[in-house]
Amino acid sequence: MRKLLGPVFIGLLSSVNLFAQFGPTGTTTLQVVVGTEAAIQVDTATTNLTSAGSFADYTGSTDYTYKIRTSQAGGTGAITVQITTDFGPAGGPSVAAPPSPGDSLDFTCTAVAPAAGCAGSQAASTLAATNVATFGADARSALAGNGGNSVDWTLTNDPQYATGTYNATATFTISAT
Amino acid sequence: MEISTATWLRRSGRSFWMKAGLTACACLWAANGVPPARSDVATILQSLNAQLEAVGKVSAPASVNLIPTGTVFSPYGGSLTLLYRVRSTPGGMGGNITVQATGDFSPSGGPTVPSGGLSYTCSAATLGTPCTGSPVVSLSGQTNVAIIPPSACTGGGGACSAADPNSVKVDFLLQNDPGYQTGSYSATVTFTISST
Repeated sequence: MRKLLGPVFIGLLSSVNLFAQFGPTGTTTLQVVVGTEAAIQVDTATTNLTSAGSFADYTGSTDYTYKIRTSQAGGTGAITVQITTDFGPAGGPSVAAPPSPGDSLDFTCTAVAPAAGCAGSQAASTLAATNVATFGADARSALAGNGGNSVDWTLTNDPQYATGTYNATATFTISAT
Repeated sequence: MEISTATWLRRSGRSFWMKAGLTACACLWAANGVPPARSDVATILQSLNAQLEAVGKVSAPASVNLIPTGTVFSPYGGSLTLLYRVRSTPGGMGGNITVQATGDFSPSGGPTVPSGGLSYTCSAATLGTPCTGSPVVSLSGQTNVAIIPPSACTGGGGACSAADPNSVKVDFLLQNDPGYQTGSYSATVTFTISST
């Protein structure tokens, strides 16, 4: 009989109703854990790279809006871009295998606080993501997101390119810790 | 040979006092006669009156966790089932169940009730009509959860509800503002039931 006392007691405790007693009022505590989150929206569906002529480089701008929340202490964040599909069809520009040495697709960054834009001109790559903007600890955007950010592209205007229309895909990624 | 009284009692197996009591009763009955057995039957009529007042009682779970309802920056959501028992007066005004934030989110830096980001919907009331739309929870006033009609009563079936206790489902939704600092926050809401 004594051996059963423990299990019986535990069983009684576990069967306790999780609701409070009935009364004229009832109180509930709402609990929420707010964690790190990040989201990005590219506002320019298609970025047209155009030249002023006379083999001036092709230029264009991609705008984006971000939402971010990094940890209060020690948090970080980043926005990167990678050319996930090289220019096609063949015969025109190429990020991975340009027809001439020195041909490149580069970009500069404009970022709205709390983002810090990349410094100087960066070379786009098909092999790895390249930094566009970074965030520090406790970085928080507006409810609707922070817009007014842009990546300004510059593509070498190599006479070796055959005439035609060429498309590439740039993928932007945002992260937060 | 004479034997002592004590020895005699011991041998007879009864205590002295028990023997004395029985002896006294025998003497009394012998003097007054054994009282006769009684078998009278009496009927008494008594009116019972009960005044049943309108009343309502509610019970809420101790806590509800609000968790993301979808992907990045989706609202936080959480549900609870409110239990209640109620009786309302026939021909009266009925009653209601309301909710009010009685403690804002804390610590500071996260969501706040006055910002208007905490709302709720009501459904599946087993007695009465649940609230409609998505009322915003307030610190300064009560907002409706359910309306109790006149002549309402909990339990027993028939003219009363089949369910006992009655219940209503409340789904909370909290805006996920990037402006909230990371961390854990909690607020207190109080449900009140009234009946007339």
